[in-house]
Amino acid sequence: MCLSSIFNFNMKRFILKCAGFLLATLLIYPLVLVFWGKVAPEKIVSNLINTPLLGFTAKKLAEVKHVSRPDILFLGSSHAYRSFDPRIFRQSGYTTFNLGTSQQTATITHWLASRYLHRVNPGLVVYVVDGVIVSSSEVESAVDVIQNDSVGLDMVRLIQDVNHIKVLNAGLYHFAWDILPLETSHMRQKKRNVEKYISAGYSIYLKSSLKNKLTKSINKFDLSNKNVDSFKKTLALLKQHHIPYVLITTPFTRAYAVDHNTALNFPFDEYGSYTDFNARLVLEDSLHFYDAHHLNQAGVVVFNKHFIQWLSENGCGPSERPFQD
Amino acid sequence: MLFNTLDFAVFLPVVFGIYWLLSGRLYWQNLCIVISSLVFYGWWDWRFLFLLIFSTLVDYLVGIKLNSKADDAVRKYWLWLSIGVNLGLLGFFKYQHFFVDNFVTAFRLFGFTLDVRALQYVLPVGISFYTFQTMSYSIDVYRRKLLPAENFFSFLAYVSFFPQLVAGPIERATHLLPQFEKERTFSYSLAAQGMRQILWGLFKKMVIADNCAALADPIFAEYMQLPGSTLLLGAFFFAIQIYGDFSGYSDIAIGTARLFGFELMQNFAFPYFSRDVAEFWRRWHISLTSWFKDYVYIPLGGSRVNRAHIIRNVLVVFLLSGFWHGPNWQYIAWGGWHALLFVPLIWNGNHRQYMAPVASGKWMPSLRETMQVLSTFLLVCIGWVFFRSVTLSNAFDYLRIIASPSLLEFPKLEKEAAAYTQIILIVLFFAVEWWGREGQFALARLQTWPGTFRRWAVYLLLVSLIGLFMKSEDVPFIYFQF
Repeated sequence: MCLSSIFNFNMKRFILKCAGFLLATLLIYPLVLVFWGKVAPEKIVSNLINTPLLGFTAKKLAEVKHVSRPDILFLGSSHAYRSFDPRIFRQSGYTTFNLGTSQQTATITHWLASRYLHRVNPGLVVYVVDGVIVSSSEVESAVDVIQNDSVGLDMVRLIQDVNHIKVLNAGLYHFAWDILPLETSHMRQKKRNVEKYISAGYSIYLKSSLKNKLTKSINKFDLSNKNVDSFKKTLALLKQHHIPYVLITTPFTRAYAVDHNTALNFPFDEYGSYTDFNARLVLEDSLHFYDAHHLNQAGVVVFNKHFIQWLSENGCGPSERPFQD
Repeated sequence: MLFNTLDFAVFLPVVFGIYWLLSGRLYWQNLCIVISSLVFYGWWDWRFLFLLIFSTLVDYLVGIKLNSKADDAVRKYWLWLSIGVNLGLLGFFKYQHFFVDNFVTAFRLFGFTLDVRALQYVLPVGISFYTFQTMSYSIDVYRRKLLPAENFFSFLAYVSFFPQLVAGPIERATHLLPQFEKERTFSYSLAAQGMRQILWGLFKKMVIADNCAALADPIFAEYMQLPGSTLLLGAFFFAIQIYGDFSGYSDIAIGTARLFGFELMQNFAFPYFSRDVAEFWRRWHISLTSWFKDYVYIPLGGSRVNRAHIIRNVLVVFLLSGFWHGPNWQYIAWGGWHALLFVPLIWNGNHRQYMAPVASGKWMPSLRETMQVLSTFLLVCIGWVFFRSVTLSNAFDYLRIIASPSLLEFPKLEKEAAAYTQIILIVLFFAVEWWGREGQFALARLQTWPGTFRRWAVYLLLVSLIGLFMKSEDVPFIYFQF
């Protein structure tokens, strides 16, 4: 029996209509997202996120495209982008760039590293590791990166990797916004007075009020296989590019540090040189933190001086540049 | 395999393509259905395929024996063999835990301690559905309402047909089996209607049911700390969840079957627009209700016996219906609650007064109809509290708090914005259901709309709502656990 007799007129009509509808959906759905992003009241909870997270990801990702060969590149979550002040490093002769983003998990780190590492080509990567990077859901962080970075084919890989409707919507929304003749940012404009951006990827948290709790309990970090795999892939990528790296954990308040280390059962030290600065540096909870796990500016100053000292002790001082070609 | 997953989105078009390529070759088409159904079922746990095939084989052989024997006593023996095997499987996998636990508890009440432990088994998905389906086949062959299946593969295809294998509708052999034994030709209008029904089912499941689950679950989990008004809202969200979930599944199942040229029975007929509980039960899980009616209620004498026996029959059917859902006292209480509501109607002969859809042919219901629909819905919601609660005492506590003065407080919700968003979606959902309440499913009326553009606009709206409001996590269908 030949195909034409099986696929009679009715069947052909059905298949063509289904294909036509699929095509129409692919074209119109992104426009619906753009419309929704414009008109939907903020209070309506939907799978389209167009309110920016903290951390100035858009500014950072615009800036990173012009950065070349800094001495140090920081990777990680808010523990990375809130803990290293480039001005302090500059005083000691280092050039740095911070590619940390909010709630950045290892999957997102790997994607960012794949996208930017060859272009930035740093002398050393300081990868800030903790429970967040190997356990959290990467949805919020992926949305943040997709919404704020330039559209590219590799975004499809990230969308496929994370496999979440919010991430898919973020990608389609950004894509549609880019090809439509629409001015201004596609992100909802939100005036925030809580943080200030410092060039080279650093973000200072300005509100250090009593509302920010200095305690936060963690019971357990549930390791995500996907993030653990991505973590290994990132390290492999660094080795492939012959970029030396160190793994570090930034200081936390005392109680949080104990909780964190009890809740996290992951051997970072098996994957490279690992230093937990909670064991090296004693800070005052009330003086040096704005919440349980983020340093305030006073804490950043103390920690950065200590960190620079530690770099020199380990043969990574600016004059030595052991990590340089 | 779940209907609302990417796996199924790939599986369905592949099977559809192969199936229609075999057009005109009945045996091969049935074989295609058997293989794809086994893959569909085995995706969850391949070990239980043997159970499914065993149950099918027993009933297939019993059917042949029933037809070949003239002696009623021998025929009865074969029938009881089929019923025994099916109920035995069900009892072993689903109910032995319940019986053992209650047996031990009962002994403890009399001061004895028994060291007996129930065997821990995973409940095979769909066992309550396919055992009922095969039992109905044997009973119908025994009653000589049906000739036995001639071909094992068509019978296996009937039992294992993947769209309705794991959560119904529980099809009667008299309706579905003949469809496997005659040649199918592709019908554009049937397939298009099927796609429409699948889309509506996905919307019900992914947008309405799953989001209601996210709101109802924390309320039922923390009910002791919440006011009555919140608990009432929790019962409301669960009522919508279970309807969206189960009727959504049925819509996808019926729609999928239509793509392959099959017509399955309607399983839900807008039950929340019922004016009394009797009407509700003619519209809710129709395939199970009619199964119990045909194979339990009528053999017990139905309504043609004295009043005391009618009440007994109603009680038996509702309690069994509750017990069918699972081995715990909450489901039995849920059945009992509905029996309590049903008995006065049948006692007064009012149980068949509402046969046509409410406000048939009108845009809006009258004030009386509105009050009837709302009060029936409220009574049904009370029943859902038993169904959803973890224990029977939790259910009574939950209802006690609803009946307390805290019912007048403003509801406390953990996810307030999500709740308001969901209420808007529920209003939209019921508006569409109301508009389409005289059809087989809410969007069936679209078939009569002229022009492609308007119809496609509705489909695109639904796809957009699914994309914007669906829950991204795979939430299993509630009825998979039964």
